[in-house]
Amino acid sequence: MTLAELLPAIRRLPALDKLRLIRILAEDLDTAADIAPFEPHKVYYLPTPYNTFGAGSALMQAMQQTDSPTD
Amino acid sequence: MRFPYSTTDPAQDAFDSLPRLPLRLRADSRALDVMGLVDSGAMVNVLPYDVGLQLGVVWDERRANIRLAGTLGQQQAMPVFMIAEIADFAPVRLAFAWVQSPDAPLILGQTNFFMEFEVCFYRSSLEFEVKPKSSI
Repeated sequence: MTLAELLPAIRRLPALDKLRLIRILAEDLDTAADIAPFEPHKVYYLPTPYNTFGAGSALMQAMQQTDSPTD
Repeated sequence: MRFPYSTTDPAQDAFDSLPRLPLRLRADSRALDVMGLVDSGAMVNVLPYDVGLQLGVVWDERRANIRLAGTLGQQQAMPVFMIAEIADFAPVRLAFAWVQSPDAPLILGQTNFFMEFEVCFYRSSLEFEVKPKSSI
């Protein structure tokens, strides 16, 4: 959405909401300053299962049991 | 330069060995030696809360404007920037998502550790190689 599209709706806001909007945007600019290479408000994913010690050993044991002949 | 996979507890075995990289972090006049988990699956570097505190960083809720999701749960994070010294490589500036979670390990992820260094894993020989990115 462009500023030109937003502006008519923004201009219809009550004066108090316009002031709130100005404050919110100013705070956003303040806190967003110079955080590259991050992007403000973006979600970053950490999919690795951390601290799962023992899982690798258990998995290998399970695989060996599966591989062994079972008469 | 090659580094060994390592464990963090004598009770752990080779299956628990992970690529942990020794590095020195500097912020202002403070320095701290830490171990970072080299994690190609992590989108960002992550700084544990206590490490940030030891380096003199002050949590500011208004600046915690990025979000983490995944196995550490959903949480807000504050971008912080440190100078990292690794082996005899030239120091680099790393960007960390600083979290308040006490369980978070120090993670070296795609942004921006993997942007600064080339990494090769040799898991069968329990080693990994790190070298500065090529200056093309």
